[in-house]
Amino acid sequence: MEQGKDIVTIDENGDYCAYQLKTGNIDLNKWRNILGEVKELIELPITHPSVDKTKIHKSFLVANGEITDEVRIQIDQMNEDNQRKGRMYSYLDIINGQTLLKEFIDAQGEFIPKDLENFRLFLELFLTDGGDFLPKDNFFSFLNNAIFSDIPKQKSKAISSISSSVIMTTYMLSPYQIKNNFYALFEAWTSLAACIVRYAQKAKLKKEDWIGSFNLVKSEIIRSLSLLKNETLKREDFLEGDWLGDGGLIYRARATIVLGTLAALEVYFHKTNESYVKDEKLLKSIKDNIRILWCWGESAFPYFFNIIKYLEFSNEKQIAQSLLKALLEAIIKSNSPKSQAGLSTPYYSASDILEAVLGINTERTDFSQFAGSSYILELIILMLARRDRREILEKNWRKISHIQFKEFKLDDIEDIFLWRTEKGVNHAEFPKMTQSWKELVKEANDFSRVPDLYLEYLDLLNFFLLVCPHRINKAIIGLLDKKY
Amino acid sequence: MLPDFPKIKEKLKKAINRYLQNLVRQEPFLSQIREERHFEGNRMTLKTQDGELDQSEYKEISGELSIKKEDIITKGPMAFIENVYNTAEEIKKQKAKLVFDKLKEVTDKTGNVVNGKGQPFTFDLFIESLEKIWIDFDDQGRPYLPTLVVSPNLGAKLKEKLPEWEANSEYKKRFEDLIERKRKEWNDRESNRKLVD
Repeated sequence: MEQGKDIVTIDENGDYCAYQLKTGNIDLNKWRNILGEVKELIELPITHPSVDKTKIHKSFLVANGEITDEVRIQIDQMNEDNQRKGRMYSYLDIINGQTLLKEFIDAQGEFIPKDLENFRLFLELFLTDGGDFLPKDNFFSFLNNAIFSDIPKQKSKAISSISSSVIMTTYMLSPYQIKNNFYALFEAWTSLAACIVRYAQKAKLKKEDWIGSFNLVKSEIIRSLSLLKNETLKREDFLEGDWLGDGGLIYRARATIVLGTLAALEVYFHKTNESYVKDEKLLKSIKDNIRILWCWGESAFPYFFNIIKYLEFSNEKQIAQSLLKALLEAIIKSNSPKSQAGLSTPYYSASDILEAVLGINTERTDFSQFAGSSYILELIILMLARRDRREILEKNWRKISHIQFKEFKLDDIEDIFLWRTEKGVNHAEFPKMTQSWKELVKEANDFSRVPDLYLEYLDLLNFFLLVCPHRINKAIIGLLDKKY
Repeated sequence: MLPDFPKIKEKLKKAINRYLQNLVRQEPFLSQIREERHFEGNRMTLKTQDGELDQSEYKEISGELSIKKEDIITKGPMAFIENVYNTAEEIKKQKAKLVFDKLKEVTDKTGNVVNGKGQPFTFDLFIESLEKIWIDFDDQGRPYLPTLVVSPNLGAKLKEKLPEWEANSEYKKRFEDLIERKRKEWNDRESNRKLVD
């Protein structure tokens, strides 16, 4: 606590407000204990470079319980005494549990799910064990159906939906917070950030009206990943939870997810922080574990993409290029038209594939359906073209040209931030039989038709693709590869 | 309400559905067509090798399952399993129709049609049909010959005719020549699959 102030805000009139927060009831005994802090709250100005110290702030003592009458009388007397004697102290106001509850209901009540289906989703998320991956389907459904379902006529309501989404998400994530499940928290905050951007676009809100909430969410994304990094680097291995059932492919999937995600965090820091220093410990962990990384399907691509990017700017280009080449060869081999079992599309998560491979899935997955096409082959080809790796493509073009390039093309560009949408087309096309290298290089470096939305939220998109790998496309991967 | 067993029933429902899907997949023609699951979107497009864009909408396929209440009471889930065969047949028909409608749409558009003009299916027609299509070859040089889908009547007649055609040295030569031509075409195509300047 700093000088009796837990939270400092500026109200709608531009006045500074300082809050001291207490849990439980405040009776005379407790009051006497906290009096020193309260005096600091009202007597000392707010110390912050952007706060005018000559301006007297408003002070609030906030308790989520009750404040007894004796304490109220003492506060009244203290305020009167300060005024009477002309002391330039701040006036102390109180906010008790009941006032808090009323204000909360006024502000958030509208967004507490009323519809039974949404209420069920809310409870399912809230009552989950918190040790598993985030149920993304349900989470997106809840956000988009309960909070961001309508575009209200009043802009203020739309803005308040965004603020409320942050609070509702905080509630829902408590089981994951208790378990320190940083990866699930990362997934949740990233999903929320994506929903906020989409909603703000659809509601045509001014950026300054919602960027505060967005930045708050973004800081939670970075915080969750930083905590994941701390925990990972403290460990000797990637085992987790009950060892019975762990290991093998589960272990390899976990290592790939964790290292790929942490590589994405480093990519973010590298891009946004001028004084970025590469993390040798993480780099060592990636290099030590490179042989156990597992490409379970095309949804693993974003993890590999970030590892490749991280290795490249960490002067490990040779390892990065080997990894990229290995990805190309894996796709060509597994997804050739005559293959019996192709690498699954990005719509199948690591868990889906693990269940299928371990024979514990309830729904049968026919892996032969993935042969003959790929969502990531074209992206890898363009990455190789950007790196002038003509010889690899030249050697493999005959095989490549038999495999269809797949892409989901959205009707509305902001739906890139949706989990699923009806509005779009499942597109497939064959590579050219005879392909010009010059044209390929030109295409790989041409970003003239890329939507502005991608450019504006590129850092979010890099995280978002880890959460929703089925949203990969050549424009986003191209931008992240070339410009990020 | 009366006591229910929803979880068990849900599992049985899934098992019956899986059985139905398997029955549909067993159909010799449909089993050769690769099925792919799409998770979102409302249409599909395919850009062909010649740059044509073909668009299709999703179509619903369904079959009715009608079971007497008494059968459900006495036989339980077996009542559904016994009757699911007819539903599978209905779904097979609809699926096959979809495939043939699409084939017709594409071949009408490209003109890749051999018209028998009501005449019997002869060896000449057979060769003419093969001439019109691409034939690929495996690494050992064996052709991937296409599946011939015919009516049951024609199927019976062809069963009689095929040994005759195979025994006819002239027909055999024409067929081998055609395969050689197709091999050359395939080799040309494959050698065109390359990265150039």
